[in-house]
Amino acid sequence: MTAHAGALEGVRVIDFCWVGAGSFATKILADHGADVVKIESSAKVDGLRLSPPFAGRLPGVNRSGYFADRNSSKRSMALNLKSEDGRRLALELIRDADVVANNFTPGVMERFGLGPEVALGINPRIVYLSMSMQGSGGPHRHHIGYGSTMAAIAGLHDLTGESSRDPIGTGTNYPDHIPNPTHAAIAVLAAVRHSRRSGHGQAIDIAQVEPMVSALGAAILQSSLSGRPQHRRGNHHPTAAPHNVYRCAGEDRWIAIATMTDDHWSHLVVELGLRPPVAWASATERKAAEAELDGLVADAVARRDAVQLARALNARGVPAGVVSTAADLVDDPQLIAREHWQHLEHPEMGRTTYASPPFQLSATPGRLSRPAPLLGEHTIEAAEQFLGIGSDEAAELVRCGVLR
Amino acid sequence: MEIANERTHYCGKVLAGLGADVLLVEPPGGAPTRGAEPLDEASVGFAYTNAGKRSITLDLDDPGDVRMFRRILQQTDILLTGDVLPILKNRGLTYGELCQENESLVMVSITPFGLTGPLAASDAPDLVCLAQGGLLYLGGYADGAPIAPPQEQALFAGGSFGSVAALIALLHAEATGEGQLADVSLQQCVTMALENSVQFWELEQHVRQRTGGAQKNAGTGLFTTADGYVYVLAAGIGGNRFWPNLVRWMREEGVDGVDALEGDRWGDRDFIASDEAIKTFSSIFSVYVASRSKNEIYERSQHYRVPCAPVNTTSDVLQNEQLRFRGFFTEIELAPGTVAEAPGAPYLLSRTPWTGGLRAPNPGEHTSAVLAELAAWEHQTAGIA
Repeated sequence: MTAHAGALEGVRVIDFCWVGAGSFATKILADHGADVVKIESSAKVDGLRLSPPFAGRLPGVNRSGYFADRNSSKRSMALNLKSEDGRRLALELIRDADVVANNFTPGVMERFGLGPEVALGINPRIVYLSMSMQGSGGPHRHHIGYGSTMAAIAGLHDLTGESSRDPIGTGTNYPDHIPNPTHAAIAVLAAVRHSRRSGHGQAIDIAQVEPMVSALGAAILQSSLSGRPQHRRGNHHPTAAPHNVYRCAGEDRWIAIATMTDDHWSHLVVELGLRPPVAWASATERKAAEAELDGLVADAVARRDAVQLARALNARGVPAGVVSTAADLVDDPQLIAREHWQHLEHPEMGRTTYASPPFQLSATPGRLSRPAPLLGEHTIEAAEQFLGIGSDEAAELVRCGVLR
Repeated sequence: MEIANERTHYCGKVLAGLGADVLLVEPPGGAPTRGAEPLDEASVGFAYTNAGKRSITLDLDDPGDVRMFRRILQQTDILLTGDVLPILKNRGLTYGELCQENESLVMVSITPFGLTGPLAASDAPDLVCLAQGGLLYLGGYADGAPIAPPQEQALFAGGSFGSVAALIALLHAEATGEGQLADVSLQQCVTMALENSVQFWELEQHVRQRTGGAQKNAGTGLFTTADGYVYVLAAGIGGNRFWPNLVRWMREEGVDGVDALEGDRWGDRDFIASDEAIKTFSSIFSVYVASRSKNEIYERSQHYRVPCAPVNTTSDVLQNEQLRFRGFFTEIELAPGTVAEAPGAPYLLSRTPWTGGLRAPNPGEHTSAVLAELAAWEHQTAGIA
């Protein structure tokens, strides 16, 4: 079997995305060989470039670790879309591209004269991805927000937390990291396939709230069936118990234990030396006595080492795992064995850590082909390559503020 | 073909929604996931993730049925499995064995830790994958235990990234004739959700903590309204682009104390994380929102271009006028006569629209139809040969 670097080699993406979800979607394509040219503005800089953490805690547009991890394998071209020449050059880029992507609020690309009708007019086979927060039509189409506010709109925030306390959400901008980048990539890949087979491109309209709601599908369906809202329930499971997180020895160390079967329970009892009521052999009885059960397990594990306890429980076939911190994960033996963390040399940040795609393809593994680009690092190179502009002309365009 | 498993169902749903003919392979008696809670007239989760698929009964522990499975595999583009390595080996269903039937086969394996590494043989449910992928640690109240996100997000992440992998591999197979194995690890999928936590540890030696119930920074967090909550991210991400909008909003509404929100210090990362800043913002904003409804705050915040949203319940989501306008919800039939609404198309494709099914198949509902198609296909292929 021949090893190819990436299955998407030869796919050119003109990427107007910025901040979180959009940039992550095109990163997935870039890590699998697509040539992703990130169109950036030096005047209105991508918010992630301004977002901590920074190498050495020193802010700078080329120093954000958050930006870096979301933009591996891409090139950066600084283009001033406020200028007529800048917009003309953007159209030239779109004319020969396979995919164009943006996550602006609706109307922004149209105001630049770069909307889907224009793009499909000059390039009928192009796949045109728009991924705004609320989609291109409807009463909320102009609303602004981020992952954490979308999580609130979509119902995720309310469903997370203890039933007796305020809702808390995931503590992150969750929709930006899983639901939206994946669903944007899925839609683009499906449309690229259709374009290859039929010669017809198409427009994709994603409202970022919607993949997030899709991730809560069973709760929404259940709510529709019952006519009532679904409630948050901490770490508890509808039927399995004990199913929770328990504090172990040490500073903020926790273990997750998920007793999915009666067998798991009987092995847990042995490992923890519990003396439970006989009735608790039945899952229904355990679920009914959940608070008491949680207290019993919590007492039994409080002085145990989380790593050793998880290993001992796994050896008995009981599902359990350490609640890993970011610091734990960079040393996690399974992730290291899977080469999950990649270390790339960045011109300003030095050697820094990037995440690999979370799946391994045997024939076309893909790779992080370069670290995150400096702002405008490839402006001249891309102008020469795609626009047929000589270096003198490019330099002139830089001077007059079109390429910047 | 999808060998029915809690880890494959969402991936199969995505492919079915794109128009694929997804054949759910179930053991005699039906897939165990048909019994997954919550149960209404049927498993709600099963109905949601399996609508629009066909079902065939095959006992993959029976050699005769495995032979039938391998015959169907010859005309299959994508195989989805959620079984850990020892089970694949016992059944003779590793990629190395199956690609001999069909060299352009794309096999997508979705397992807790992937098919390689020291945990390749380990099974683990959602909560454990969320723990070992690091997302669990970031959720929870600042003063309490880590709390997981709801609705089996590790499984959703695996199904979502599994769909991406399936399509990348399918494009390659259709271009070159070469199939491959896509080995998806739920643990790795979950780490994608860690935002900037790994980089915070690496670059600033800071382990990000749980902040639930507390404001992360001034202007970021949950506030109680007359009828629920709003979540606000007033400064935005990266710099404080929207902060002046917030100040204008508060000023035009005549809110007391708004002068305290003026000044360059509100753009300083260390200041906005300070107790002083958090208390100052909170004392002004919480009073303003407390007497108003969450939708009123939402409407005002968007008018002034401040990132802020109502904390919707699942019932609110079902009534959301924007989702209704877009025709987002689709009907799912749990049993004859029992129909309710669920999320529909997660993306609108102008030429190849999403195709959701009304209901999940009954166990083995399409077995005879599929076997008839197989016989016809084999007859035709033999004729060509």
